[in-house]
Amino acid sequence: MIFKKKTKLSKNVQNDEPLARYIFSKNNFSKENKKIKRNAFMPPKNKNTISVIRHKDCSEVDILKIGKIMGENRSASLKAYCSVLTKEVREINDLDVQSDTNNNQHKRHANIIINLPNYDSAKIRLIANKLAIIASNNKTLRIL
Amino acid sequence: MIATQSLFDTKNSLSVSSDKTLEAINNQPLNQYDKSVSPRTPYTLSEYLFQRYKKLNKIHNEMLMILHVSSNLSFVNKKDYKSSESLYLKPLIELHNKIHDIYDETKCKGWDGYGAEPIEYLEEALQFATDLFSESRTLIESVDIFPENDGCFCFEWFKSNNRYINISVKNDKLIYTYKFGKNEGCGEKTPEGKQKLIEQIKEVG
Repeated sequence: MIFKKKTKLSKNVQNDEPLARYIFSKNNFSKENKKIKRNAFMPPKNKNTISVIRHKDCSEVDILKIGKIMGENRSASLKAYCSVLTKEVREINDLDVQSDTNNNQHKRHANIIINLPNYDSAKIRLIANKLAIIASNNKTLRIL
Repeated sequence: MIATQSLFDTKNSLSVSSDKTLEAINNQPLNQYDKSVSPRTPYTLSEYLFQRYKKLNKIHNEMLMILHVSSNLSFVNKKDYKSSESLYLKPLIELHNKIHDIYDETKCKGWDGYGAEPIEYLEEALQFATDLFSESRTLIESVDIFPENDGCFCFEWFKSNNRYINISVKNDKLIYTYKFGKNEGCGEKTPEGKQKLIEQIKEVG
């Protein structure tokens, strides 16, 4: 019998880890040109965290399974997902990635943290633009 | 603002009296202006035109009159428009329709699965689209519109990863982000500052 080795995630998110961002609204991506819109990476109003899933060594089936569970928890239907590399996120000013398994979150859950001294909706939008462009460039958009 | 022009196509000409303000015109019962309409019709003039506007598959001459599509329609003089081509307003009409469609889809909290605020600022978005069209028809031919999680509509002109501008429309401000090559930035402007943003939109190309 062959057992697939399960990846043990470290407490600190490594730079080579891919991060999945789930999309629950068709308004957050363009099906025609496979472009991800910046609202897919906007944190909730007055917050500075963007929820992602660390999916290193996960199959697409696993990624979708987690996404559907997250959708059920949010009473939302999964429409698509995309992916960015932790390294690419950290290369953007004021961003970091931290694991977050508190409050019954999935063991692979993490947050992109926006480290701004004050809430600045214009700067946050600019950051979301960059993340959306990275995800689009990586051609990682998977539409269900 | 007072308007005097025919409202309907040649088959059903209707002139609006010039002694009333637009607000009064919009809210008067329809049959005060068109005696052929049954007195029992539920529509005011503005509701009637708005319903016709929504059902229109092609542009009629009357649409040259209508700029502000909302629950209260406004009118401007036909002479302000150089073209009487029936397709002149089509881009604006389509953009307004898209704004309405997005609004209908995002009225409930959490529409994006992450706790998004319901979309508001509908009137502001429609007005902004109209202002862009008034400035230049081409400005709205290449725009994309999408909702944002803090209740705004975002207008985006995206030429490439290094050449774009986004403008989010709120009631009291316009939030912009842009990138032109190595030059990037973001900020807020009051609605009075939109002319500068319009100049930047033209730079996107």
